[in-house]
This record gives sequence, structure tokens and C-alpha cells, in this order.
Amino acid sequence: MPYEVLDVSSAFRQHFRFVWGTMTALGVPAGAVDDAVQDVFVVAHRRRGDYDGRAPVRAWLYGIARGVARNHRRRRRTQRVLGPAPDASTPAPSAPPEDRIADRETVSQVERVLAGMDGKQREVFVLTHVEGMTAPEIAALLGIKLNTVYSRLRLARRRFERELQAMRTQEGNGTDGAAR
Amino acid sequence: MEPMEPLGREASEAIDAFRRARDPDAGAEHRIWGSIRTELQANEQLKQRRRHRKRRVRRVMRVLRPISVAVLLAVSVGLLLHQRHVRRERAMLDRARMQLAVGEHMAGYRTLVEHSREFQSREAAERRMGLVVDALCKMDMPLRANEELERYLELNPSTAYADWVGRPCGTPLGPRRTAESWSAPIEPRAGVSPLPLEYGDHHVSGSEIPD
Repeated sequence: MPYEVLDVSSAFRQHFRFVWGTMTALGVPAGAVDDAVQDVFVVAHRRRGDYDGRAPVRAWLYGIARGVARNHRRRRRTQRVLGPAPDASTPAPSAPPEDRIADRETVSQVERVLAGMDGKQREVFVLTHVEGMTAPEIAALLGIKLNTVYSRLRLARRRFERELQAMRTQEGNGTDGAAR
Repeated sequence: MEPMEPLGREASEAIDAFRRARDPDAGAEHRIWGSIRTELQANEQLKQRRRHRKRRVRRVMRVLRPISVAVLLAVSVGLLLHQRHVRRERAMLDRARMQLAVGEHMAGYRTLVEHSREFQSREAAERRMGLVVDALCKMDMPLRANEELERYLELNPSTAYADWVGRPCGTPLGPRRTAESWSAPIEPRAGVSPLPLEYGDHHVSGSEIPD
């Protein structure tokens, strides 16, 4: 079946936000998202001849993003061995100062909970709750059964809520203790 | 359980904060596309340089290929000719050896003279020398054999036949002759006709070879 060679420029315009969000789902730290997104589209440009038009461009980009995210995580582990990585979590620039601190704490907690989750569960959880994708869309994107999406999501949510609660309780106790 | 039921309030708020923090900033799209374009251009330039290099190599190969084929052909022809030459040279020595073995000493000697005319190489001369000494000994001319050996030794000091000097036919020649006596002409022994030709690697004189 004839198909047009993928135009990376238009793919970037259409799917930039999706790829950006995907990097979070795949556990790429905030400070490395810029580079990771860039890598995804550079790889897409290099492999554009392989794209046969059968799958949606988004699914194809997601496949590339997975590989890129894996490399970034690996690189991050290496950096952690060599020295501490700078804290890259940043609050939204529009938030007022008092909210920023609370946001920063929340973001840090969410990041830690997500980092502790199983990779497959995290992927489904972030695509659902951060990217706002539906279960059938995720199933098509990841090439898995719909029931598998539901099952992973159920486990992920249970774990996320439990861990977040526990972390807040623990940190609240720690703060109270320090104040006393 | 409803699979897509919403998250609890606390978790939902946390996710909202996380989403806000993770949203790309206003200039991110423009900035990242700029970086991508720069990288793609750099890659393209690299590819072009590689293509140019390949083209240059191909052009050089186009010139070199016929030359290398010609050189290969010349070397092959040279090798073939050399092999043929070696085969002929060995065949002639074998013929001389056979003639000496069946008692045709003079014919064998003549073959060796012919061999010395055709094949001037040191390797050929070395192989020939053994047969010449054998031929002269069989013709009962040990002194002449010794003379040949000594002359050969002068020209080829590292020859394997150096040990034969003084006893070319397996037995010592007796007291060695002085320098003066060496320069004197060799007296033919009774009943043995002297060889009418000078045998050697450098010149062969005489044309009358008795049958």
C-alpha cells in the first residue's frame, strides 16, 4: 500500500504535547524532558522511512519515545552514581508564591510515588490521569488488551492513593515533630 | 468495580498540580523545534560529507581498478613464464642426470653446457655444479673437476660444494698444487681426451664436442 513519507515537522506540531506528556509517563525526570522530546523527533526523522502508515503516527512516536525514555533513565542512573542530579521539578510560572511552595511539595511527592511504581502501571496511570487518554486509546497505543489496561490502572490507582496518603502522613508527622 | 472511576479528591488535586508543573512552558515548543532543526541540519551535512567521500573513493577506484587488473595480469603472466622456465630448467638437469646415469657421460656433459648457456641464475648454477663434477669424475677427470670447483668457489664463496674441493670424486687428489702449477695448462692423462670446451657460468668457448 503506498503511503507518504512521514513529515517530521508536521508530526512535531501535532504531537509535541503528547510526546512531552509521555516522557513523564515513562519516568523521564523534568529536567531531561526537553532533550528527550528532541531525541524522539530526531530518531523519528532518521527512521521516517520505516513508518509504513499502518499504525497511527502517535502510536509510532510512542514506540520511539519508550526507547528514548529508557536511555534517559539509564543515563540518569549513571549520573546518580557519579553525583547527585539537580532538583529539576519546577512549579507553574503563573502560580502565586505561597502556592508555589505547596505545589513544589506536591509535585515532589507525586514524582516520588510515580518513581516507586511498576513501570507498566505507571505508564497506564499517567496516560490516563495526566494525559487524559481513554482506556481504549491506551490499549491501541500500547498494543495491549483493554482488560489489561483496566487491570493495570486499578492496581496503579490503588497504589498511588495509598502511597501518597502514607507519604503525606509521614511528612506531616515529621514536620509536626520538627515544629515541636 | 468501575475501571475508569475518578481518583479521590486528594490524589486528584495532587495530579492536577503535577500536570500544571509538567506542562511545557510557553517557549518550549519553539525552543525544542529549533534544536531539532539544528540537529537535523547537522546530520544532513554529515551525510552529505559522507556521500562526497564515498563518491571520491569510487572515482579513485574507477581509475585504480584497470591499473590493478593490468598489474595483476602482468604478475600472473610473469609467474606463469617463470614456472615454465623453472620446469624447463629442471627437465634439462634431469636429462643430464639420466644421461650420466646410463653412461652417456659426454652427452650429459654437453647437456650441462647447454644448461649453463640458457640458465644463468645462481640457483641453477648450484644445482648444475654437482652434476658437472659428477660428469668430469665419470670421464676420469678429477683434476678438471677440482678446477671447476675452485673456480666456482671463487665466484660463489658460500656454495655447498666448498667441501668437495680437493676430493671432487670422493677421494683426495693428493698433495695440493702450488699457485704456479695451477696456472699451468692441464696435461691430459693418457687415454683421456681433454674437453674441448671451457665449462663455466660466464663463458663457454669451443664448439667441437666429440660424440
